[in-house]
Amino acid sequence: MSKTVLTVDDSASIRSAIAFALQPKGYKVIQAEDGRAGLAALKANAVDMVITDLNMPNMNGIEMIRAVRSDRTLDGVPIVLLTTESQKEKMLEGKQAGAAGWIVKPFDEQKICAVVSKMIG
Amino acid sequence: MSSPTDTFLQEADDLLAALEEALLELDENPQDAINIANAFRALHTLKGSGNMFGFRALGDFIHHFEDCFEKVRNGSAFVTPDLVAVALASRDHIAALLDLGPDTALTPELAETDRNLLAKLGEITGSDTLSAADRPSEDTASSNQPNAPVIERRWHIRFRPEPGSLGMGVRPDLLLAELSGLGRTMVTPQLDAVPGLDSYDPAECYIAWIIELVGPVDRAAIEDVFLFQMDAELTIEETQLEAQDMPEPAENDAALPDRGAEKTSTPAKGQASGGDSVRVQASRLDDLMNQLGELVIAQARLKAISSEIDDPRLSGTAEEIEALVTGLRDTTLSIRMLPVSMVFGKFRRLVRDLSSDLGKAVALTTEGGETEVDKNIIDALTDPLVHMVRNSIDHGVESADIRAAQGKPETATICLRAEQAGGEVLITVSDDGGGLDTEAIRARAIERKLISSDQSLSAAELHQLIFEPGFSTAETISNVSGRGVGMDAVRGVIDALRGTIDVRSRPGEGTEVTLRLPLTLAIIDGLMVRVDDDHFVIPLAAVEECVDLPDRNMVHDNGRRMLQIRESWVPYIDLDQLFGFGQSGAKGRRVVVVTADGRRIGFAVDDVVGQLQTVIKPLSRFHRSVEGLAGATILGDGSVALILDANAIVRRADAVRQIAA
Amino acid sequence: MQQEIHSQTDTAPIGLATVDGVPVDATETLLTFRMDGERFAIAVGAVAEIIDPQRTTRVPNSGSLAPSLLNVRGTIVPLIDLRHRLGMESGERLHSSRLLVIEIAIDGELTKIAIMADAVEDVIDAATAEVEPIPDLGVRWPTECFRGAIKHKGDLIILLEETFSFLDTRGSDAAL
Repeated sequence: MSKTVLTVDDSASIRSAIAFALQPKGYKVIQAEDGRAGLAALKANAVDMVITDLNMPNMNGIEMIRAVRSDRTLDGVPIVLLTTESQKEKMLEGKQAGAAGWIVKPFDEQKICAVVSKMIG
Repeated sequence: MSSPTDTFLQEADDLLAALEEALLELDENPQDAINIANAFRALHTLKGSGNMFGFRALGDFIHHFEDCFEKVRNGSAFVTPDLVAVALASRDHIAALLDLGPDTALTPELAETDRNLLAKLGEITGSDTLSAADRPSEDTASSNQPNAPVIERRWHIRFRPEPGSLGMGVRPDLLLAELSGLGRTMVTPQLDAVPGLDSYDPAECYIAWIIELVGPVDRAAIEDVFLFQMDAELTIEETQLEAQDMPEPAENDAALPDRGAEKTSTPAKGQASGGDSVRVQASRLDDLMNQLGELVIAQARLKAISSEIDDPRLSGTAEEIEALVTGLRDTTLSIRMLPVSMVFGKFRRLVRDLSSDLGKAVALTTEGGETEVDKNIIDALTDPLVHMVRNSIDHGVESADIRAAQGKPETATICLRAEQAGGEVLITVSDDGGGLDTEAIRARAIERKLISSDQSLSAAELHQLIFEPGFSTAETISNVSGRGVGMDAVRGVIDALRGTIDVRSRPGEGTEVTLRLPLTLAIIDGLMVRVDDDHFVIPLAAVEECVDLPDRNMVHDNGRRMLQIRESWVPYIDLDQLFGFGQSGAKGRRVVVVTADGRRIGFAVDDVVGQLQTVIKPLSRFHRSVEGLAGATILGDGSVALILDANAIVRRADAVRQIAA
Repeated sequence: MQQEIHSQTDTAPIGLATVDGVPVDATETLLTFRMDGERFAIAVGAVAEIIDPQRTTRVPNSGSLAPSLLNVRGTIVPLIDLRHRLGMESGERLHSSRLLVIEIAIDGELTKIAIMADAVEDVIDAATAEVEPIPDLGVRWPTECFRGAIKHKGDLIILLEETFSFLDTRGSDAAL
């Protein structure tokens, strides 16, 4: 059965780049455009992994990770942050909130696939 | 599915619009934290995505632009009119960089602009900026390739994940599997820290592993495996390679907490979410609409054939198809409907730029932006509205001293308003300027030989003259108002959309120009009527009711015939006479009562045939100027029926009566 | 009946009588048709199709130039009363009558028009150099409608002005 990756980003092009990278490898990709939608998607679907942006309207990536980690029903899903080089301190904050890893933008297909396969096989 | 790059370009447009919107808001409220955040977010997303899709110059430029905005965000710099101006210019520069395309070097001109803008941004916000054009182009996109190791090495690795890591979704099993992919491994779990069941937390990881790894691997490759394990206990030591001690691949799964199996056995639910939206290329919508139009015509043909053959099985199916086509049509049309605010949104920038160019203080207000109109109409409307707004600011709004002398507020107001009325949408551009100068219009029209000097025209007729070709020319238009196009271009577009233009103006109080447009261009519900031997279609949106035309019970009133319907008298027009078909001798004629120009008015016809869906086909250039026609439609038998424009017919009838009187 | 006329004049359109004002040796392929006993010709390339007469719809208040229209494969095409424009008597529909659907450019916009011919006759090749001014006929007919005339097998064939610029799209308003 194919694994499901949720990509949370307010940028449709980032979401579609991730979907483009992962779908050919047999992953199912669900998209959400902000943290709030991401949280809702997590509750509505069996998600194996989350790739989330940091800076988003409504609910940012850190807030979403905190919300996920405080919800027993969602606990345990690996969350990877999308960051830029300039966001080192955000990376640490994300880590403390409960992110399992990070991907530095810009990324290419191989990088996304490598990280996802590292996380969920 | 469009490619990510297409998605990016569409998204970039939206982001630039959002950026512009935020900047314009900041121009009015410089300390508005929400819009500072919005501008920042738009820039940040553009940068991230731009770099992703090969727009390096764009990414570099925005990186510095963003730094400047970061200063604003953290309070060490402030939004000033200068900053907004440079930021808007930077926004335009970003648009140019997008046009440049991915993986393209800057042109010298763009590099120059790049430098200048960043210098200005830096100056205003006190940041150090360096344009992409100045920096040696380094390949930041290149990933650090690990040196390819060729010699077998032996590593002793000890790994203890941080205690809470299972709760974050860390999968030690996958890390171990990844390590075993690098070479031959022997894995030994260390279970000494596992507590008793009473204090066991399943989200905690109590196990550590010792891994002996032999393979052509360097330290960096191993560190890569543990990339995300920054808080784990991890030691990696190289040991002596011993030929007799080759570790066999270990059966290590049993030692691992098994989370994966139970997780993946949960069936995935569908990703149903009502709020999802999809972007579609406009041309596909047009294709869909065209094909739907052909389907409607084919369906009409089917209906005609079915009523000829009169087989209940065929007619049942034909009716079913008709219902389906109607549903499909409504859905398709609704897809094409967009809020007018999409056009209105573009005007804030225009008004701002024009008011500063012309040194006139002008505020823009918009109303009814949520009104929905067919996409093609939205697209066509932008240019005429730009022209009308320019015209208002350039010619309508007086200079500050004149306004002051007349006791008007110093800042002029231009209002863009949209509202739906019946089957039409009304879009109004109004200003509180000086109003149209009818004498000047008259003089110019005479000079341009549009009217003769002894012709007497009402104010309304004089107002309409500004839309005549040749009325406005380069010599009177400032560089703001036009590049060789006058208001006649506005009328051309509105005519092509089958719309009309009303002008109301009061000297000293302002001008209001209203565009009346059909809601949709392509397919409408119609009522087919017969006049003499010909069929005509009246748009159903305009029709109120159909009544019999009695032989008596009518009065003549000032050249207009009146018909009593219940308590009220309704004027009606004999279409056969208006069309020059001669007096109908038919018995049992009927009157279709429509609402036109806000009045109830009847059209006397020989027969009401029935309701139908009509695909509006445009008339050729030879018939476009014929008043009273909205287009033509192809009937089920392949013949053509003309679609009537109720408003225009009423106007024409008024004109005819005035001439007759 | 429906005959498609395929353009053979793509490389030598009829307008190419001169290059930089210098006459060139060119031949043109022309479609000849008959109206009111006279032979007319237009470039084959301009003719989109030739169809049997079909039901037309009169357009109220549209004037005498284009009093009606018809459906040609889903496009609404005006039927131009060419006889009226050329000052001829209006004619009866004959067994041999055909509609010529012609594509012309008006202000850069391609527009289809239909004209009714009493009969479509022939496709001929004619040397551009042989086009002569119209003898004497100019008195009877509006000369702006014609490009000239050629002799073909002893017959005089009148060439219509190829851009049809003599058709005024604004239309007159005969009813008022």
